[in-house]
Amino acid sequence: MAAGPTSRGGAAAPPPSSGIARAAGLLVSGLEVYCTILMVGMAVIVLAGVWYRYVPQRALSWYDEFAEFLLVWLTFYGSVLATQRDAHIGFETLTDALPAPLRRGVAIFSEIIVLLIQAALFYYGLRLAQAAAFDTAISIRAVRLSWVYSAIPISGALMFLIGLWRLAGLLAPRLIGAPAGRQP
Amino acid sequence: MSGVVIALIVALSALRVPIGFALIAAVLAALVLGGGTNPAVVPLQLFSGAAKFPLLAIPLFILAGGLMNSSGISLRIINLASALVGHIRGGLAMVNVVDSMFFAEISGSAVADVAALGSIIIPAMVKKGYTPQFTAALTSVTASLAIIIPPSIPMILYAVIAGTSVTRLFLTGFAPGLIGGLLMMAVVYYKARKYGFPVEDAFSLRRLGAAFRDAGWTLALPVIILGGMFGGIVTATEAAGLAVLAAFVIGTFLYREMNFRQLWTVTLDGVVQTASVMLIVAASAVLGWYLTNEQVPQHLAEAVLGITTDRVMVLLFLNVFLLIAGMFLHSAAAILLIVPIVMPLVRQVGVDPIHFGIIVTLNLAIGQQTPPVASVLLTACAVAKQPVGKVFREAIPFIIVLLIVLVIVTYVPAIPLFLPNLLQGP
Repeated sequence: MAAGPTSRGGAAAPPPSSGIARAAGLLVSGLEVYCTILMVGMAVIVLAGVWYRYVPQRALSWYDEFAEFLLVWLTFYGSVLATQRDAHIGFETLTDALPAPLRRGVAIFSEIIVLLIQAALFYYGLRLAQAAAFDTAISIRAVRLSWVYSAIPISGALMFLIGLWRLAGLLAPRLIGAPAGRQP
Repeated sequence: MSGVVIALIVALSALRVPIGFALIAAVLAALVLGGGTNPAVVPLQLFSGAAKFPLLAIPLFILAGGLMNSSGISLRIINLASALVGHIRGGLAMVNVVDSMFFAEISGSAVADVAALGSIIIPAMVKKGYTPQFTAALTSVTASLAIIIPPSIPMILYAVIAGTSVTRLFLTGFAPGLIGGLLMMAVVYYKARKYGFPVEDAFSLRRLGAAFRDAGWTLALPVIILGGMFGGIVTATEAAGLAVLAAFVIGTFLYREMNFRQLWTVTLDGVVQTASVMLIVAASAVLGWYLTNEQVPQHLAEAVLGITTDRVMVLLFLNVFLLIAGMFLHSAAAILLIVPIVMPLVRQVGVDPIHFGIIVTLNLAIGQQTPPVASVLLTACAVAKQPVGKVFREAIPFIIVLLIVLVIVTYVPAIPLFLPNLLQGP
């Protein structure tokens, strides 16, 4: 299979004067560091699992469960980065063939749909996390599932913010210095 | 209702809503409007769709591939292939096939294969006088071996969805990959005689020995990845973890071709690629849950079995269906959307799920080469800076090779199943 398409470039640097732009830049850098830690952490946990099984010969009871949690977090927080880089897998063939004004209209429509989904993921994700407030991980009882589920509402909220930023860029590019949008 | 949901997914995807979000949107809409089930089931299904241990192999193989790309491993593989087959007529084109077969043993993604090898071999072939279109086409189709020969990310996805062993499915890929590679070399040889392609240096044992020594650590990679997995020492996910460690150590400490900045970029690219695939994985669990609730897979099985119960005909139907789907869907999306729906049908006509896994993989290997959605072909065109149409025309003979392999694998299950049966018993 193909791994995801390579990103079509990061956010075009907005003018440094904009406070929102600076906050957005900080947020993205923070997320990049966080996701890198998750990725490296996953590799380390998997390797630690092998090490413990063969060298001290006692299997880590929490190894697969927590590796799975890291993968869920990487999926959702990584999705925020993929949204920001416009790297999510989509079907571009049809829209690429449209004339420019129509393409812009479709891009705006698609951003609005994604915004609605993020709002729903935030709302229902929050309710799921609340409902699971007393459920715990199987291998380590001190870990509450609501912490694990929290990745869904939090990443939903972050993608909502990035979506608003992109939508603003599509609607009024000159006003805020055109963030990464789907426009050519 | 399920028909409306599927129509909504198609409509939203066509309007450039990313596939993962289109799936979530359609199911959410059905639940909110249809009432009954609490829509909070959507985030729950997203979570459980992504929280599966075998899926960890995907980010780890992606990361390992990225590390191998920027650590001088590709160049050593190409040199070794050149020492092996460069003396045959059409030398560099032969090298292009053989290096992909090597790289396939350490990489699970065809796009990674094109990116790693294409950037070196495409300029080299064009310089030798091969047309850029033929060069791009050959690089693209040979890269499809990366997902047929293990490790393979699509096979991991299939195994997770169908509930089969990843390692056993991996074993089925060797024979079809080898047959495909040899047939592609035969096509290259025929073209080379016909059009007088150039040859490289004459064969020399000394040069081969030097290339082997230089490749040294690179050759340790398939031993670690395949040996660990098929020796029953580690699971596929753990082998992917070992691949990351080995690629990191080789690139950073042994070849010293990677600095901190590159490591950072490679890891971050890996994060984004992982998320773009995993979002579809998680979202397809939501759709799978919905369609299963609506009993769509059972209805499809009944409908098809109402027409024919003949295994040969059902497999033909599934192959045509998968080939068409592969033209329009990204391979990860195709597996995640189609496999859960057709699995009851596959089981009812008595096809081994492992056998069906290699059939699906081959179909999607072809799908990656056929426009409009052809991730691998488009990557090769981007590397070679060639128009898609002309490259696709050059790729057709090789796509026919893949189709022949598909027919063989579909109707002679003994060929793909030989190795797993030999090593693991039936």
